[in-house]
Amino acid sequence: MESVRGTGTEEHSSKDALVLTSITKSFGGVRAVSSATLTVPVGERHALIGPNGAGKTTLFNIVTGELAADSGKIEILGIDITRSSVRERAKLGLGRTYQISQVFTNLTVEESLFLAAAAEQTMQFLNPWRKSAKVVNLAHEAAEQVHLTSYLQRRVSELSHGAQRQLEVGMAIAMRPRLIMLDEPAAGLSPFERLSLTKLIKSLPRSVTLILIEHDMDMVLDTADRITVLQHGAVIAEGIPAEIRTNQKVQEIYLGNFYA
Amino acid sequence: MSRTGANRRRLVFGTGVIVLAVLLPLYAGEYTVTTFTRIIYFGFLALSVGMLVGQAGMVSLTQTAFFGLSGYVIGLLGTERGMPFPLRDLIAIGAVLITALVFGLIAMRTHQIVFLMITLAFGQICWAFAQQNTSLLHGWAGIRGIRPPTILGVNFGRTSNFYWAALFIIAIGIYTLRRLIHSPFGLALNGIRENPRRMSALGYPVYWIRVASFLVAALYAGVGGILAAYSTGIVTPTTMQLSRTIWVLLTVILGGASYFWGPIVGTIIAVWLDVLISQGTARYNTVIGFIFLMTVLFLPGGVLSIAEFFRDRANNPLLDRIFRLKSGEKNK
Repeated sequence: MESVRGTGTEEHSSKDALVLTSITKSFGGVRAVSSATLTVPVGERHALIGPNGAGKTTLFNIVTGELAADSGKIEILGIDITRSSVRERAKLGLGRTYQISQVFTNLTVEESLFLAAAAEQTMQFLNPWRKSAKVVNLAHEAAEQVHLTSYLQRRVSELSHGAQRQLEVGMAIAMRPRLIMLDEPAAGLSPFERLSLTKLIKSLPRSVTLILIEHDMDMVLDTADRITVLQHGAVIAEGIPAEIRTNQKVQEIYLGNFYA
Repeated sequence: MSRTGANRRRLVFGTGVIVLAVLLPLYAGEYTVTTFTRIIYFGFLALSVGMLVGQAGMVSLTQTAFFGLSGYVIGLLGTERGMPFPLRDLIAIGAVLITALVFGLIAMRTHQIVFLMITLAFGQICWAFAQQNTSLLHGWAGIRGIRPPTILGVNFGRTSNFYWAALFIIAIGIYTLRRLIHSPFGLALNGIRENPRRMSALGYPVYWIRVASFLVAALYAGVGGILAAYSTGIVTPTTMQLSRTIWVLLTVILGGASYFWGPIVGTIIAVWLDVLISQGTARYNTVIGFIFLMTVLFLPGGVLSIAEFFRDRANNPLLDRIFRLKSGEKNK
């Protein structure tokens, strides 16, 4: 993964991959995200944790542009993208996975990864996609990273849940993003698959920034440099794993204050 | 069966079909040749619908309007104002593309059922306009007396010559469409059919890819419309009425919307059914409706899925049981 996406020429030499400034989002009367502020430096592995309904996925969708924030500012690599489209953000080097797999059910694994790797290329109309050796290679590399090489010719619908989760991550990697956002990548995976996913996350080069939503605490503690805790849409704690582990408020959320 | 064996059989079959098609006017009567010409121009329309439905997952009910529009332009400019051959045809194609662009820019903002409704509305607007406009389009009467051109001394008014020309044009059309479908653009269309949300997140301009595919589909419908106008000599509001739109849609499903050859195979079957059944009975719509119903019930993948149906018999409990009973095996 030497080459990454994004506009190399107008490099903003920003030290921060993602800066969120007081992001707020309400659905009717429910305040899903309230004045969330977050800074993730380039190269960091940052985990976003919190109980169900804390607003983690909503925040993800706001960052990727699938939802518009009511107020606040979003910057990726020093560029203000608050009003950019999903596509423009992807072109800046933002890749993501989904909590509920968003895959191409009736395409093959190879086709899916090709699409992920080819988005940056100028659109070809008459040459067979299989002949674009460069992109096909990128797709195969991504397949190898997520251990799907032997499934390349399989239809996505024939894959197990675990393999579809691997493909989710594989498609995000095949985009060669500079900022990769994983939304519960381990959801529904077996302990063994979790280990190999953890290994994969740790093997990503440090030129890529990673933001992770995950409920598997072993995985979070093993991979994250820093952790942000959300509750009721607000950031209630942020720090290195050791700090979060001993944080009074976090313990209350996770264990309940009856027992504290 | 070895892979090369299958390829060789496919090559032999393909060559055989091409030879039979090219030599058709030499061994078949004029009526048969005209019927195959009809298959060719409806084939273009079916390819147009089939590409949108099968590749892009968009059920459009506007395609027959493009089919009629190009015919009307040929009639208006060529037959009524005497504009010569290549110019009027190019203008017809241009008119189709511009209309498709306008419709596409609006319709591609919608998905699924809303898309279906909005394309239905576009189709109906064109049909109603053609039917009600008497000053220019002559209302129900339409435009008659459209004649194919004579090019370099070859009179394409002759049934056989016109058939060969149409066959040549659809051969180019099929070849180009096949290239397009196997290109990164075609794959991107499949991706949009499967999951437009993911395609946006990957960085694809989903809206513009859909608009582009709509233009390509309109082009195919438009070319079909020109051939139809020349072949039948008339263009009327009936050319683009809703029942035809639905007939084409059913034809595509009959052949198999997800197969490249589905629209063509479907058109061959449906046109011949039309011919054969209307010779036998006046209630031919009933018979055809029944056949379509049976297809949807028992072969939802279309006629071309028959091979797959049998190939998968190991995974098909019902078929497997039937075969085992036939071969006398005991059910364990």
